[in-house]
Amino acid sequence: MSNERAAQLRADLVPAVALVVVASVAMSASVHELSGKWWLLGLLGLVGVAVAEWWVGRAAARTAGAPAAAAPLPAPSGPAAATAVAPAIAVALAPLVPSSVAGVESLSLPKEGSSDADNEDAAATAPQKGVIAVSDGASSSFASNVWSRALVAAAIARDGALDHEFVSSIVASAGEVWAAHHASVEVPWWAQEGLRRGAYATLLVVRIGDDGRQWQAIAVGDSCLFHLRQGSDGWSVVDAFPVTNAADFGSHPDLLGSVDHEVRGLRAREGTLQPGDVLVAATDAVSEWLLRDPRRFQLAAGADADSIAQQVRAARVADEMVNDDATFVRYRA
Amino acid sequence: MTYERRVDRHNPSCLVFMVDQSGSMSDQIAGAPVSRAAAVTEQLNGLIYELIQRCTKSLNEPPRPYFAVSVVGYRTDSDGQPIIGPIFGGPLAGRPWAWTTELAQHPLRLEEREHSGPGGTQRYTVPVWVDPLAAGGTPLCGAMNHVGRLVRSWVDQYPDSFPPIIINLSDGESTDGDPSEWAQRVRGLATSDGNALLFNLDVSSDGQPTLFPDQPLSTMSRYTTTLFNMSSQLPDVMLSAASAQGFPVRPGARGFGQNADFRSVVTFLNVGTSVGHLLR
Repeated sequence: MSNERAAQLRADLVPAVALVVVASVAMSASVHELSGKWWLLGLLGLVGVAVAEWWVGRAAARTAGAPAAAAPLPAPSGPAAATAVAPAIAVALAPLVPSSVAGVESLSLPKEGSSDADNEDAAATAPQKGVIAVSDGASSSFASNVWSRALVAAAIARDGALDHEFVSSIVASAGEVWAAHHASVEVPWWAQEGLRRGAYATLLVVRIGDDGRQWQAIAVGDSCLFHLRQGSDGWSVVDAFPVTNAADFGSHPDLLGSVDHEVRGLRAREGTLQPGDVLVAATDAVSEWLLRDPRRFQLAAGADADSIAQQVRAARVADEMVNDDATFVRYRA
Repeated sequence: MTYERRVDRHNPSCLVFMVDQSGSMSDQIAGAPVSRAAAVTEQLNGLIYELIQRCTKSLNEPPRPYFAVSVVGYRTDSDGQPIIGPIFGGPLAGRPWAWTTELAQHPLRLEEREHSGPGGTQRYTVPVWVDPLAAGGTPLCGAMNHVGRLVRSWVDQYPDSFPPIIINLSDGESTDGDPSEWAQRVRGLATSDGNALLFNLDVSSDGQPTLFPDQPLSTMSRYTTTLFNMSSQLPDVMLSAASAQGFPVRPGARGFGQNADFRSVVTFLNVGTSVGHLLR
C-alpha cells in the first residue's frame, strides 16, 4: 500500500470509527434491551466499516488504469439490444506531400450507439499523389457503407483530370466492387429491392499539386472542403466548397448511385495554398456544425484529433450536431 | 424545432395504418376493375414494404426495428356492431404492434409478379401482410378512438420519439358520426418532437388523382372534404422532402391524397439521408 493510499485510508477510517462508537452508545442508551451491549454494537459497526473499505478498495483497483469513460449517453429506448459505443478512429497518417512539414490527420466517428462497421462515411488518402477522398453513404439506401468505401478507394486509385469523366469512371469501377460484394450470396426477399435500387453516397475528392500549393476539388453532394488561413485574429475561412451556409444542408443532397451510374450535380473548385494554410474535408454533420459557428474553425484548424473527437461527441450530446457519422480529414500546407 | 428527431434503433417511431373494411369498399375504383378494398390493401402492403426498405441496411442483418407498425381494420358486423382491431394475419395475428424486423420475418405470403418494361420482363416479389375485406358499416369515429388509445400508449412509452404517424385509408363515408372531433384528439397527442400526424388517403371512386393539396378541391365530395380537413399539415421537413421529390407542394399542404400512390409519404420519414425514390 502506498503512503498516499494509507493516508487516504486513515482519513476515511477515523471519522467512520468515531461515528460507529457514538451511534452504538446512543443506541444502547435509548433502547432498553440493548443497554450494556454498546460494545457489541460498536464491534459490529467496526466490522461493517472494514468490509466496506475492503470492497471499495477492490473496486478501485479493478478500475485503476482504465481510461476515463466518455460522458454517458441516454439509455437506448428502442427495442433493439444496446450496442457498445464505438471508439473514435483517430489515425495520424503519413504526410500527404512528402516534402511538406506537416501531414494529414483523419478521424471518422460512427453515430453514437453504432459500431465502426455501421459507419457509412469513408475517407481515403494517397500521400504520394496528394489526394484526399471523402464519401458519405445515404442511410436510407442498401449497403451504403460498402459503396462509400468503394468510391473513396476508386477515387484515390485513379489518375487524370478531376472532371466528369473522372467521376463516371470511378463510379463504374466502384459499382463493380459494390456488386461483387453481394454476388454469390443468397438474397432474402426483403433485400432484393434494396439491391435493385443500389446504394447512394456523396463524394468529395481533393488533389494537391506537386508544388504543394495548388489544390483542385470536385464534389457531388454535401461533403465539404474548407480552406483555412491563420491571421492576426485567428483562423478564417478562405473558401468553403460546395456548401457555404449551414442552412443549406438538407436531407436530399446530390448522390452517386452504385446501380444508377448517372453523375448529377458535379461541382468543381480550385485554390492556392499559402504556407501554414489548412484544408479540412468533412462530411455533412461536421461541416454544418462548423459553418453554424465560424469560431469552431479555430478548433478545426488547430486542435488535435482527440480533442476534435471529444468536441464532436459533446456537440452530439448537446444536440448541437446531428447524431450522424462524422468524418474529418485535415491537411496542413 | 419539431419533427427533427431522426429515427434509428434507439429512437424508434411508429406508424398506425387505419384500414376501412366497410361494405362500400367493395365498389370499384375509377378506371380499373379493382375494388376499393383491393386498392387499399395494395397501397397498405406497398407502404409496409417501403417502410421495411427504409430499415434495410445490408444482407448481414434483417431489417432494423426503426418503426413499430399497427394496422387497425374497422367495419361492423351484421347487427351494426363495430369490429375494430388489429388485422395482421399469420404469426402476427392479434398483435397491436409489430416491429419492422418482425414484419420482414412474417409476411402473410410472398407473391411473385412480373413487370414489363423497356428492359424486358422482370420478375419481382410482392410481400402481402393484409388481404382485402369489405363488409358492413364504417365506424370511423370508433376507429379514431381506438387509434387514439394506441397512440397514447406509444407517446407515453416513447415521449421523445419522432411523432407517431397515422395513415387512414378510406372512402370516408363514416357511419357512426362526424369523425372530425375524434381526429382532432388524435392529432392532439404529441411527443417532445411534435404532434402526431394524421394523414388520409381517400379511395372514393370519383375525383382526379391528387396528392398533398393545400386547399380542398371543388370536385371533392362532402366525405372527401371531411377527410381533407382532418388531415395534418405536412411539417416543414416533409414539405422540403416532397419538393425535393418533385411534388408541387405549397406551404399549408396537407397529408392528404385522393386515388393516388401514397407510398411517397414513407420516403418523407427522417431515417437519415434520403435517396427519395420509390418502388417500381
